[in-house]
Amino acid sequence: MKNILQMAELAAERTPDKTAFVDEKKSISYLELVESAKRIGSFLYAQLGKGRPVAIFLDKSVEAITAMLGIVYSGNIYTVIDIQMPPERIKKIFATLDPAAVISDEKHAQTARSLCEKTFILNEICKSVIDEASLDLIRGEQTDADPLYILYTSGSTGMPKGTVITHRNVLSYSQWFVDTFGVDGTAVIGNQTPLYFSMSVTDVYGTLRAGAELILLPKKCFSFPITLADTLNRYRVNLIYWVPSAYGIAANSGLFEIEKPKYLKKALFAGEVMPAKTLGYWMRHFGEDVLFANLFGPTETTDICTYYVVPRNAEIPVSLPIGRHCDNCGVFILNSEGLEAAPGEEGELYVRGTFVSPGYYNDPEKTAQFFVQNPLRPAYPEICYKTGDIVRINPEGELLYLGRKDHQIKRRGYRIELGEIENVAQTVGDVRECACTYDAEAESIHLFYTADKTEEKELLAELTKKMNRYLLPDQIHKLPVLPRNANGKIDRKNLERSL
Amino acid sequence: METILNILREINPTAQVDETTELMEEGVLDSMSMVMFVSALCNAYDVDISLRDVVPENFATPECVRDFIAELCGEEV
Repeated sequence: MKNILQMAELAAERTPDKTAFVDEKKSISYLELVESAKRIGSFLYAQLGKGRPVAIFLDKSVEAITAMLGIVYSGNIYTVIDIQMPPERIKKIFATLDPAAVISDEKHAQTARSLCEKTFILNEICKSVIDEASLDLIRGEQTDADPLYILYTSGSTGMPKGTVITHRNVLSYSQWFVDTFGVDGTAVIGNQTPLYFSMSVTDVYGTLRAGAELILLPKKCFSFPITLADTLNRYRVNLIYWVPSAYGIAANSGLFEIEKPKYLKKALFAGEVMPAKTLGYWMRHFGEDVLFANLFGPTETTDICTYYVVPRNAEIPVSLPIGRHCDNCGVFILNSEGLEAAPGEEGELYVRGTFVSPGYYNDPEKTAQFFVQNPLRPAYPEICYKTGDIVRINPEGELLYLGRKDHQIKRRGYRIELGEIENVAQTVGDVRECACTYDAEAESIHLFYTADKTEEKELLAELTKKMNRYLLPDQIHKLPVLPRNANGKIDRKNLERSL
Repeated sequence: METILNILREINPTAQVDETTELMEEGVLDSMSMVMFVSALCNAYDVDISLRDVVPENFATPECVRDFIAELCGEEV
């Protein structure tokens, strides 16, 4: 295969009537999906030609997925935009993306038009006639190194970075995913993450690769635990791949004492550190029957580069390893001297191989900064991605995640990973969530947390017992709720500003 | 009703809320703040809210919340 559409076409040939994608309002079979996407593709090619970015401005829906594939049929590159993103930020993205057009619907057309004059309404263009000759021509000229999509993440400077992901990246990545977790046509995947977030790539292309079924769970499900369990059971969802915060909803509400997702077989997570208490709750209720795995990676390696299957019937370590590299993806660690780290020594994680993106869209400077020649193989060109993640290898040969390079601080001569403090604080009393920030000027570490009962004094007393003195936070703040960014992750910059 | 609206304003200070605001659709509450909201209601009205009652019908708008709490307390709120 050289093009991700071949996965959809293969599934449409083998199981034309099988449901591919489902949202609150509608569902679409593989045959219908390919048909609609071809119609959209034929229209877009006639209007725009090929090889340019086209932005999608739609709710998470069957339509949005059809639009994604339609753009790919036209030989263009898709970018999914968060419809709740402030227009100022979208304008920043569009300044580097320069999209040829935007695809939207009646509901969002007005905003879409204010961002890009050339806005097409999906309902109108998906009735176009299929132009097989042009679609064949486009496919014939393509290679698997062509861009499939551009995914924007927030850079540390606040300037969004658009990671380019190719067909080859996704073909290779999705193959690893289905092989490793035994995903086949019987899988019903319950999607939680938005389509502008890299974890959804696994949901969407894992589904196409396996000829499975993907349920796009409505966001509000995650506010009502019983509704969530009901929905999972109604669709017989047997695989989930969620951020740990979403797992926390069941754990914090005691959902499984009332209702359990009956069909669940595989529970995967990524995107944040999984709190030991949350995983413990899930494993107590599903330990024997469900496979749990911790996946790890950045958008720049398609979604994931390492993974760890949590052993059954064993004590869960406080800090869950991120495991070993995925098949067809290489990782190595360089210490602060730029040499390969010795076993147990900490350093920065680098990734090489076919999951690695070619770079950032329209941003040669940032690309050169993060996509670098492999210093361990100087004799021939090989580009690796510098993750900015600090890791080390434990005696079992598994990678441990210690924190972000930019969260690593040096205070009074000690090098400290803020994530290490968070891991310990997480285990105290009824602490639900926590996050640390560092005020370099005052040399003070702030710990923010949420809990029903555990008070600041109690937390500090427990931390004093459990960690080295030099790690102790200087100030502890109990908050009713921690601020989150658009992806649902804890917003540390916001916490810093609140001081 | 004022109590309910005040709790909501405290949880999400930037949101515009009145009696008929769609709390989920308009992003006043999300999965995290929902937990807070339920626990604040329990304290304010001295009631226990069972997880079985934390469903969209009871939390769609502040009016729905009021009716639900009234039923739970057995008197108007």
